[in-house]
Amino acid sequence: MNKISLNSKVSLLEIIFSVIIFAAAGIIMLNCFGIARFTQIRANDKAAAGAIIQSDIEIIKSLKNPTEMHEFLDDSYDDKSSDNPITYTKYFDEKWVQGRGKDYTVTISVEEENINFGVLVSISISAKKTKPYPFIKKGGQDVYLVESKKFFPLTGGAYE
Amino acid sequence: MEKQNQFPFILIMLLYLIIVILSVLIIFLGKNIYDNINEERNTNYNLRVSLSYIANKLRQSDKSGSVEIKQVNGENALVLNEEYDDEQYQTWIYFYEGGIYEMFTDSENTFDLSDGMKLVDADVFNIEKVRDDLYRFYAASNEKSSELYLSIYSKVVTP
Repeated sequence: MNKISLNSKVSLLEIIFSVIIFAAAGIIMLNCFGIARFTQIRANDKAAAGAIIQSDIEIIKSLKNPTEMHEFLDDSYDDKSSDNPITYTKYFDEKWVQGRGKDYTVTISVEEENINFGVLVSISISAKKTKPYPFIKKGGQDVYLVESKKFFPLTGGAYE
Repeated sequence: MEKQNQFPFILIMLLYLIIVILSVLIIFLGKNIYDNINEERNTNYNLRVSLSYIANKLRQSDKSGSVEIKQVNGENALVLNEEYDDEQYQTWIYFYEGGIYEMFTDSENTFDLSDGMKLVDADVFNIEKVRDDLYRFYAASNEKSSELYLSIYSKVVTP
């Protein structure tokens, strides 16, 4: 009866190489999984932040004067800095629920300029993640940014 | 000689077993991550497409008197009035049986809710008129929700 003979030194060397190759491939795969997961989380964040930012801009665009705008921002944002431009900040948790955590911040800066027949307000609104995304180096902590302007006329200005 | 080889042989088999177990774990981890990504992508698609589509429709029809809200099946529906060749037409966007539907019809005609074209799946879809020039749209899908406010420029009121 034939018996299996095993050259232990060669086999052990082979298995050590196999383990090293497997470990290297495993680390690369886990890194790819991590990148894929956090890229998806970033895409989700862009969708959520986009809706919040667009809504705020749309509401501001529908208001009649800068006073109404500041009232809306005072009510809907958590913090305010009185510097020029005036900056308002609101905080969201990881599920984009306002007031439950500080995983994400949405900051709006408004700068008013008195020009002929009205006030021109420059608006910059951005969403940021408080901590950087793991595995992803590109893009930093920025999630979304919109810059816009709104003119509040002193008289008239509506169009049908 | 056989005794000498016994320990490395068991060690080698043990290492192979560990490699197999870890391989299976990595495959399952990859599968779970892929499933999660796919599910969230679908949810995102449903929420974003529904709200973006409505925003675009509303922008297209942003003319005086063309946007209104009517009740359909106990829910608010968005109605966009249009005129082609002196004929009045309406685009209805409404929630019906787990989806957001669109129906383009002659303004004189009545229609069945199932006649509309399904745009996307949604668990909840609400339309609310906040002010004359501001509408709120809310959509929920797979326990995730999103809301969008849209202002109608044609209804901007003078100060």
